[in-house]
Amino acid sequence: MANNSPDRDSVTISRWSSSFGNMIQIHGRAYEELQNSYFNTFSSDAIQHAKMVRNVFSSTSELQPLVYIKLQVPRSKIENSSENALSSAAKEYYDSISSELNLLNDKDQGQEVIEEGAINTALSLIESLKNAEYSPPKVTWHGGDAVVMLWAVGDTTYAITVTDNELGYVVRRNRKSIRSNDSIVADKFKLEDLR
Amino acid sequence: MLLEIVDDDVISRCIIYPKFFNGNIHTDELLWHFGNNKDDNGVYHESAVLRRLAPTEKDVHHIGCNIASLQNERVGNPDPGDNKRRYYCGFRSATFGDFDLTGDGYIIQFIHCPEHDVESHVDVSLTITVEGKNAKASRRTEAGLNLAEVFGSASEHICSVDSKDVHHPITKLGSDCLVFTNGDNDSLLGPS
Repeated sequence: MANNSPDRDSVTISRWSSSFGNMIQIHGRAYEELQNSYFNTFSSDAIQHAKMVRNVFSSTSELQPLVYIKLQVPRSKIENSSENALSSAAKEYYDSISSELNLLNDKDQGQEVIEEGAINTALSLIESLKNAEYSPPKVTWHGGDAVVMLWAVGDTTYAITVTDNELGYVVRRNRKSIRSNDSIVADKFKLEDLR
Repeated sequence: MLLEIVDDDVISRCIIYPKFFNGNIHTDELLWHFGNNKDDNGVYHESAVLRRLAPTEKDVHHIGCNIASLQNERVGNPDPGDNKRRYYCGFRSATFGDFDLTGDGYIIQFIHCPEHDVESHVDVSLTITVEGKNAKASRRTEAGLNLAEVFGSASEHICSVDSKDVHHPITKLGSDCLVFTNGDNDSLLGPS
């Protein structure tokens, strides 16, 4: 699904900031712990990201990584390093998202039922994100026909709204939508990383 | 008597678990989750509280506890811990004049509309002016984010009926379950 052709529609999910405090936004105690313990530790690149995700996951299973940073080094280097927690933690979280999405079409689950086409398109996007080593999004849904993927970085929120074979996105900052589009056919959509 | 909502009015939104929670954490993007209640004209509706008519925290908590109670009654009063059980957790507020009520392809309206004996009830409607499934769904997402960004932190509360319920999110998780992440969080500046 991801495609680098410049004529394809795109959404910038994340820009890099060298300051950990500026870069990550998670909930409650875990944020404070991370800020206190690692503010000066994290510098850049995939190792930083691996530490972020690892610590988020080790703090409590209820927390979710909300940051969306693409790795800067090839996956092979990560897997050969001692800082490969990202792969296992992110994969585990991606798997949990996929499982949750698969249940959204099950009326016996006692929750809102989402159209199968939207679920399948979302699963496809999730697979692309996972394969590209992006931090997993927070996933919600609404209206019976849409799955929403969200990332937050500082005061900026990124949301992708997925319906049956179509995607829309919005980037909001300072209470304004600074970039948006919708009704993009799934295979014309690309995720762009402009750190 | 219906009141005109003015810029100085404070609007509150009651937080109900699990609807407003992602996992066990209340999140901004679920504070206004348009999509569940749509009328015959395709307009989405949610509810809020006009604080001019419910000025104290106790007033709003009373309303919130009643909302959760009504919702539990509708599903047969599930036992504590049952995934169908609803819990009122508190409310968040914003000043009406701070809202940006129009966006590209949508209009939000706040109208005083007493309902279920709640004089302070406000009908919050979302009218989407674009066509197409994804276009409409994307506006629902955007409008919800738009509204939530204006709301402040939560005033937490555990209803008396839940006071001994260990499954209440605040009892189980503490106030951290109501931490919100977007909007006016000055300690988290955005990327340059």
